[in-house]
Amino acid sequence: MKRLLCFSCFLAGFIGASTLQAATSEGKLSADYEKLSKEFDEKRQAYFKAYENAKTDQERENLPVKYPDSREYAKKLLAMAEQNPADPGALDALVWIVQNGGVYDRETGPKVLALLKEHHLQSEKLKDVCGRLAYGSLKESHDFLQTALEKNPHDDVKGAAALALGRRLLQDSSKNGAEAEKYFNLVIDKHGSKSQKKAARGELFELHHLAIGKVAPEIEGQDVDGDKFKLSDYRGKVVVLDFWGDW
Amino acid sequence: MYPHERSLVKRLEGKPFALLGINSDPKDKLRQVLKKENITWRSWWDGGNTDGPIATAWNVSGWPTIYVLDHKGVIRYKGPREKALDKAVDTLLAELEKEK
Repeated sequence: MKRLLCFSCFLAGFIGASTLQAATSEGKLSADYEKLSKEFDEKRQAYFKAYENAKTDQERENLPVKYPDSREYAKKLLAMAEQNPADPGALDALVWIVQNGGVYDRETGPKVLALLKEHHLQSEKLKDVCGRLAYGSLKESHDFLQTALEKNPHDDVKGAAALALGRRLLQDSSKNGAEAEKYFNLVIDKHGSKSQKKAARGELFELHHLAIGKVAPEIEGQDVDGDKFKLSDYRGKVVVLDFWGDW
Repeated sequence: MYPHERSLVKRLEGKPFALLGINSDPKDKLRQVLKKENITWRSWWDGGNTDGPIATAWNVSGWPTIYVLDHKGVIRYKGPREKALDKAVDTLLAELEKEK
């Protein structure tokens, strides 16, 4: 307790009284984070409930409650995390922002990644962050993923980072195949969970067999009535393959 | 998607063209949609969820995913939608016509 007190005195003098509370109690930001994320979830559930209860299209368009604005919550959570970025609650807040799309925002995204990189580079929770960074045009993503791949100690974070790096390369240009392949092989041979290895094998298969100019692999299966048919039945025709679902 | 696909199929009736679906819905739902949306083209039923064998083999992670193949079965376009899809199909049909 004595040590904690001294520590807090030091911090109080160093960073100013306004952030004293945040800096001295470990759970402070965690509680703030829980409160905000819970509030968001409750608003979201209220929206879904209202939507389900609405009977007509008109009612659905004029629901009494709105879907909560994730950007607004991202801003609040970022401001909170910036108070004391090394706090575990700040980590949760930053991960929340990523999971809710805030990392694709040009203003929020770079700040979130910079804080995660500086204060939470060793965290297991970066797995999901890296996964999200496979997509989006944020240029800071590449550096973040490279750093996570090199310095994060967890195998599935490294796996997620390598997978995302490969996927980003392919999105940038179809000519990046060879380089992307190195990352996918890294996931298969060295890092990565079972599901990450499976995903990397899928990407390699797509690179080798589903590229423009390749003969499409055979598809054999049944329609909804159980009648069998195959793709090669349609040789001689121009074919559009449409992977679809009604959702 | 449905209205555009319907018009594409209608426009190309009688041409050497086929629209083929790979569907990830549960069977009951697929039956309902086929009826409700008046879907005349064929679909493979891929096991009722997005982890079906065909979608997995084709590394599909987003829906819809579109591939356009020429009459030799070669993949020529990936991902065109709406007007770009029409153009892709028309280009390949013209190519086929020329080869005859």
